[in-house]
Amino acid sequence: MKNRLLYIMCVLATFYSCLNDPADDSVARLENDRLVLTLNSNWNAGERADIARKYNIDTLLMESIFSGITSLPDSVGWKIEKRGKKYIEISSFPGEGEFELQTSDDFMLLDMDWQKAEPYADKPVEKVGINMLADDEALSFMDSVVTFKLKSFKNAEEVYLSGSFNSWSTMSIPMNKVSGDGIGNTWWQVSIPLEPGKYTYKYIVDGSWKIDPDNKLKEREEGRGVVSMLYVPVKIFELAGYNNARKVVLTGNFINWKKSGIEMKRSGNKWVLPLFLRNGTWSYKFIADGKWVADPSNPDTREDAFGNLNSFISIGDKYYFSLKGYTDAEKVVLSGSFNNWSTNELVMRREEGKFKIEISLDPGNWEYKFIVDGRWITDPDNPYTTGSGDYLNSLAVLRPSYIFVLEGNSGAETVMVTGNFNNWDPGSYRMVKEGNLWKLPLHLKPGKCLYKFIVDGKWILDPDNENWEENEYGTGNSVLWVERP
Amino acid sequence: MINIAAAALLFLSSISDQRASERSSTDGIPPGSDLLVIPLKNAGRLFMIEAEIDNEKGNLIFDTGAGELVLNTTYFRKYLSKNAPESRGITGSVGKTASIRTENMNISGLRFSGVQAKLSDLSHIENRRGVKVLGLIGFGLLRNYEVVIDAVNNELLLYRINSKGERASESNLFRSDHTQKFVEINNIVFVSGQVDGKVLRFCLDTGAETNVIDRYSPKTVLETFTIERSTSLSGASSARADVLVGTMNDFRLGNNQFRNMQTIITSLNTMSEAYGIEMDGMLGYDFFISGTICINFIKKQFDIQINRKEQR
Repeated sequence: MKNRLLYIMCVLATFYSCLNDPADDSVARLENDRLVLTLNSNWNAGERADIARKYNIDTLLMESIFSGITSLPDSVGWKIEKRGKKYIEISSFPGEGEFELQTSDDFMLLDMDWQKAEPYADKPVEKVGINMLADDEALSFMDSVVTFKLKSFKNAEEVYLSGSFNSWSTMSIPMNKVSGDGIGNTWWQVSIPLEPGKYTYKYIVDGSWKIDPDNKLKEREEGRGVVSMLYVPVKIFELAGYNNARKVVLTGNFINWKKSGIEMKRSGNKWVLPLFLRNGTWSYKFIADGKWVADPSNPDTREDAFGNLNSFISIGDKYYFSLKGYTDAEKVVLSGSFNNWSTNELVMRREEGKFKIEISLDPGNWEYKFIVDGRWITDPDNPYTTGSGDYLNSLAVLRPSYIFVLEGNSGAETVMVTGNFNNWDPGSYRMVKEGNLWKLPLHLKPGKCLYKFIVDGKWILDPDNENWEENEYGTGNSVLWVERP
Repeated sequence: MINIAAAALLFLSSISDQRASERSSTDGIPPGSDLLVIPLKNAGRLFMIEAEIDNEKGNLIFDTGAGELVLNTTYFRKYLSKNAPESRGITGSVGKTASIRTENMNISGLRFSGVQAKLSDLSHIENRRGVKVLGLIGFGLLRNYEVVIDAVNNELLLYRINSKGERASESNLFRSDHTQKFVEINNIVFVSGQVDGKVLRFCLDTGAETNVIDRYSPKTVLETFTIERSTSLSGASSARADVLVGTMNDFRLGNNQFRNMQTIITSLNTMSEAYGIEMDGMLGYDFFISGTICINFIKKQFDIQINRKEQR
């Protein structure tokens, strides 16, 4: 199947390029060691520019060729061979060594656009997701733990689980052979903690990649062929009662209030639906045999413009910011990199002698300050800061994925950590002294992290990390790999 | 990636034969098994094999253009010296001649102890792909097995064979569409193919993300190519080379024609010199996804079962 797709893509690409550029096939040829291009006098500026780009010809040179001149200076590397009414033939001789793979490097990488691969680029996730299992036991969800159960391949010797959650590692999640139902059945099983979200996976059965035969959700991934897909639900919607209802569905703004909704299942004396929803605030209602019902178990209901009462739910991490003291202050505003340093958006409320606010934020390293009656201050209760002087800000690290630690250097005044995660800005992430250690937790994206410490202005490798690679200054960068959470 | 390091390393390859005799009896595929299936992973047009080498976990690029095991300096320079770069003076050439001995390797079930490897700075590949690259593995460590490369299903199969090159247990799954004896130089395999009826020699290189044809090939050979554009190859340091990108339309193995394979056109003079064999081209990614390939070093035999969906 994968090949068919690749083939079709190739054919389509060729077909598409033919449509756009009918003359392209005949533009270039190799002749007696020279690259010969046949240019069509009728080409418009766009077509000329396209060929200039493809064959690395200076656009000004291209224009002068089309202007009617009969010869070009040797230095430009191109020669006009023939000039007819309709066609101009130009050629270049790639000199010795020029079109040659050199052995001066250990490796040559083909720097071509079609090669670009971004294994860690997160795909935009759908607003809503629901699993479709052929066998309800194939995947089960308890709190944030997912249990994968594979009933096929009973005679296999080894089965591994591999997916987007472990960067498609082929060795990190072995499955266990289980025989626990008392009637002699065996199956493969493993439980792993997974955050709500969309994931793709496959099983590796004695070395061979297999999709989950009991999961109907599949998609195609470049280089992996067909993969199984699952959603770890963020919430189980429940509607108690309605025992005599024939059909109960959930609808909401996440599916544009479609009346057909998403069907719920009867479980005991309630209707249930485990559902994945993307971070955000969502409104919803149940429809039981055509009757619209707000969620009786959810006190957060709001009226819409037509006077209908809808239930509301917010998905995503919420964070509390608070400021003690300043009892005389009239107005305190939270401002930070998460809201483009807006000075009036997030007004904090006064509560029990503190100013407080709760906001939803994505995991990350956020800078912020409080504005107390117009005066900007850092958070007195947060030891982590970035920048300096007027640009000294507090740093909120939400869901840290790594703690940088540097031992010793007790006499140092400032120790910073910098790397590819902050574009090597030397002044942003300040480490905090704790006993004999300098520490800073940071949220780092999964993947390769290059970093260095700066001790009182001197850049050093992490002395406790043996892994480092060369850099352009000949001083090396420390290397660490951040796993997916 | 076209692996030129391999060439430089070839000259040291006598070590590999010596090494074979040093290997312990538990080396290789699990005892008692006649077949090991290793799952391959893709990073763009590269094939990766997961591995753990002396407690360092990551991936090896399956690169049959590399005669020797090559390991990434980033993770294995600790075997050389503990010196930090400031005190050593970096010239950028570290690793080209450095050789280390690993203790334990587990390459997705294929185990070795005490294997010698060359060090090379592979950080540019890692940074480009975002994948942890421990090194490169070619046929060097696999030559005692019959090796089946099934790039379509992302599997590498290693069959145990006897001294005559026969599989310990027969499997009927592979039906060869074309068979030929290959030429081998230091674990690198060269096969004969035809373009425009002319017999040309190609290096089998799973580490080449695209096929390559020598620009000094006969004119009638090059005429069968569609030339699409010119582009640059960038190397690890500052080296760049301009190449032409085109499509190979008329490659044949026996009666089997392969169409539409992306190919770069460039001079292979220096490469041929380094490998010590005149070669006309390299077969890379587009070739490997067009069939299942079987390599037997004892019989010196190359077989391919063509993926029919791929060919028309």
